[in-house]
Amino acid sequence: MSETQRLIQVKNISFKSGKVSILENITFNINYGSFVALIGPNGAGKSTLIKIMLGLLKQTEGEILYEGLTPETVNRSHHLLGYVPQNFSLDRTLPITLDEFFRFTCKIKKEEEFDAMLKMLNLFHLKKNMMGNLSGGEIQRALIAYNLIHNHEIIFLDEPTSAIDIEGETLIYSLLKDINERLGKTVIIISHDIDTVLKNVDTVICLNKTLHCMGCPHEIISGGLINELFESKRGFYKHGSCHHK
Amino acid sequence: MGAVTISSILEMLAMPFVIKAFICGTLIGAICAWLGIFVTLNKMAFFSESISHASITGIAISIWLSFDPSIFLIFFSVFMAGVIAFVSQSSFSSKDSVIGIIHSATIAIGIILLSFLKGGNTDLSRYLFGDIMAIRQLDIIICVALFIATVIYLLIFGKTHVITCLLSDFSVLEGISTPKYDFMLMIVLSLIIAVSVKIVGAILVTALLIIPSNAAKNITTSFKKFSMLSIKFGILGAVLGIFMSVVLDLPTGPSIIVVNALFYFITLGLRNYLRFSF
Repeated sequence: MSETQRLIQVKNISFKSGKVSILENITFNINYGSFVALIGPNGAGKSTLIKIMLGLLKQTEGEILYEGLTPETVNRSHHLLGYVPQNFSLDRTLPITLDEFFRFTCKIKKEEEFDAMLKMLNLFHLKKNMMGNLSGGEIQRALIAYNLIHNHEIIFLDEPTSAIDIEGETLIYSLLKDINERLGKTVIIISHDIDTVLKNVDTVICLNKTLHCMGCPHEIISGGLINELFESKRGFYKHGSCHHK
Repeated sequence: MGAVTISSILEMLAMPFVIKAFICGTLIGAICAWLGIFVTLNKMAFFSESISHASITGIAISIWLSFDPSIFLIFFSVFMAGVIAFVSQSSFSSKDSVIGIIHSATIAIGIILLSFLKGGNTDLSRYLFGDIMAIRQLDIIICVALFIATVIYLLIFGKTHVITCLLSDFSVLEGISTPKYDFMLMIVLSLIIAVSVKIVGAILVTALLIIPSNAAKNITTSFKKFSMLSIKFGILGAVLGIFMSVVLDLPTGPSIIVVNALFYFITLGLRNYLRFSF
């Protein structure tokens, strides 16, 4: 199977919390190796959707397939899926260094590669620092490093730049772009910073309980689809025709 | 009380029941401190408190049924851990609330059962307040066996417990089931609590689990130092506590806890006022 044929399939996904419908009949495909942004207003179901895609939540209806495998199967044996949550629930008083965090949670095969990874993410000088003393941006970069050391093929990020400054945000996006282009990882990101997202990704999925639209950034902008999304005009569905990965 | 001389202290320390107390106290102090790291990491102090207080009911039942409380408590504590785990998973309430409800209900049942027991009962007060000096051969065997089993368990699964704590919600992505490992930790904790109750009593046993690790947490900056210092505090607290109890003729369990509490407040002072950490 060639690289372009490898698909993440989201098929008719619906999710209800009690009687409240959070997601309704979401269907789209993502090619492996894409840099995808999931955008939409607050409460649109973006975080819920990626938790379902990760297998952390069970959908009410529909299925998610990674080259034909469900998230549960992938998590049990393949460990392809990586996650950088919006709020990393770390006890900041816990005495654990960044270096220890990686040694507990990852299998470090070669020290030189590990050090090179930390240098690439601008974390090497923080190795002996306590995790609790790291900034929000440094924690996010540490979690990205964690996913790269695990060699996760698909990395989901839930608003990774929500608690960091502009400089930190620029660094995170340039890292993600590099990870996507140079290492060939599939990156799926939720963000509210539309301008920055559209400059960096190759595919945009607009969500507001239902799938509003999907396409490459210039289509989404030129078609005025984003304005419609944030005006909560739902039910409009369009697949972009431009060539994206 | 007569004059305490060095020779009389040495004489007391050489007595068989004191030696037994030192053996059991040191083993339990060390293993509780080690397990306490995971209690602190996984925020299970309330669970530990609940299991230790539930032993009041266990003791009452064992007295009623004329079972050996030491052995009965082991089974009863594991049973209670299972009840808490089952109700937590099948309830809409938060885990803390569920533990609180079971905690209160178990103590209430224990008190009702005890109200039927006429007159004082030596076994009851021993288990409520601890009596390490009354340690029997059977207690030492149970203590050593559980110590070895727990050390093996922690050497095999300790790292996974740290991972479930650090990655919490998404450890499943690495194929690790947090609820499964939490349950295993609950069972091990309940076993150690059952044995420790004889030493420091149902009322104080949680202190053995939470004080050494929190004292160590005050002044350490890495997990390795945190773990090592926690275990050292656990052992030192037990040895000094038993020594203080023998020399000053004080209750042993509370003496161990007072020494541990001193470690906590000293390290807190070192951290807050001298900015000391290593």
